Amino acid sequence: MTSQHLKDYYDVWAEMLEEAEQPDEGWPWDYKLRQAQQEERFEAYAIEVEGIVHGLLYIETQWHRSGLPQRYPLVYVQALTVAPWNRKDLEDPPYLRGVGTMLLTFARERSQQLGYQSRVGLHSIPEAEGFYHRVGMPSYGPDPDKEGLIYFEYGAVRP
Amino acid sequence: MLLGPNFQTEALALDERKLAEQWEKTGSFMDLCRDETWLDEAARIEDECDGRVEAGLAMRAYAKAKYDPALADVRKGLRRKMRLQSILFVELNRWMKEWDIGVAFEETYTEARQLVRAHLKQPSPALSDWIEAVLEEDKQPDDADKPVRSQTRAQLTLMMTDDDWKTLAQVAAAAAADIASASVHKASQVESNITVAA
Repeated sequence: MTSQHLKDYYDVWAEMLEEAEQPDEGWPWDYKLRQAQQEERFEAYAIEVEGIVHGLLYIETQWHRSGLPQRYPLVYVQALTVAPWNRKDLEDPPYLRGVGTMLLTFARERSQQLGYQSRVGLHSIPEAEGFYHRVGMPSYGPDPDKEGLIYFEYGAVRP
Repeated sequence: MLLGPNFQTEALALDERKLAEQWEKTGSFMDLCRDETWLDEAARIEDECDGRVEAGLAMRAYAKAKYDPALADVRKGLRRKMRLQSILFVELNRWMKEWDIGVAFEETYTEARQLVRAHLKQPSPALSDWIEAVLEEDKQPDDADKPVRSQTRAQLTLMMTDDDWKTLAQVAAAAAADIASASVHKASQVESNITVAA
């Protein structure tokens, strides 16, 4: 992710938050990019198609551990989001499809590269729980430390 | 305290067997993105879930707005904006690569995008007409003739003012100087290390 991607986010995506009267909620990505540039354990990625950002991923790679008793190291998805226009309620089919799955696959790839056997953990927002169930990510129930969001975790891939 | 996993049993886009096979084959899960069957399944799953994929506490406010039915028109407006900027930026990128500005490209291109965006906020009547025409034409299939889109570079040329060109020249010069200075600094460090080692 670069400052150019951040500008895309603020110029195009974040306008929706202004309309929803939540302009301040758009700023976490600014902080995330800065953190990724300053601390090795954080990484920020963007999917860019035809000059515009369509998906953003922010991961932590060193401190998080598996919800399993063995406490395996894993890649933790701090934030994953897809552009507001790729939905069926706007046009059928959406302009781009599969962006979320690609970001999640990339998180697993990064985990594999780091020697974590592609283990990935995340907390889904309530509206997206169906997606994580659908892509076969085991769920571990609500996490009181994350305001009750459901924790999902992919296990090891052993080639 | 987390409970035990609740496993699902349906066919999956990211199942362990498929990933393991892919890793064995090419050493990268991302190569699945070249597999039409896998891509179709990924797209179908996201369609079924209406594109609701957000994860992370910080994404809740964004997702709330993204899924708010009352904001459907806003999202349609953003989609228009995205298509227009994609058309303009793809051509801007192609055009600027012909300028051969080397290491200064990224910063100059980023600045040029911001200048284009500024002009789009207050378009002239002629630019407004072209925007409507190019977006209408964009609804045609990809392989259709796009005569309006072929005017994109000409529109970019018309958009840029003398002040814009001066700004771009300054950004390019500063970026090139910064990189040259950093290279000299690095080279001098290497030289001093060699001296110490000797």
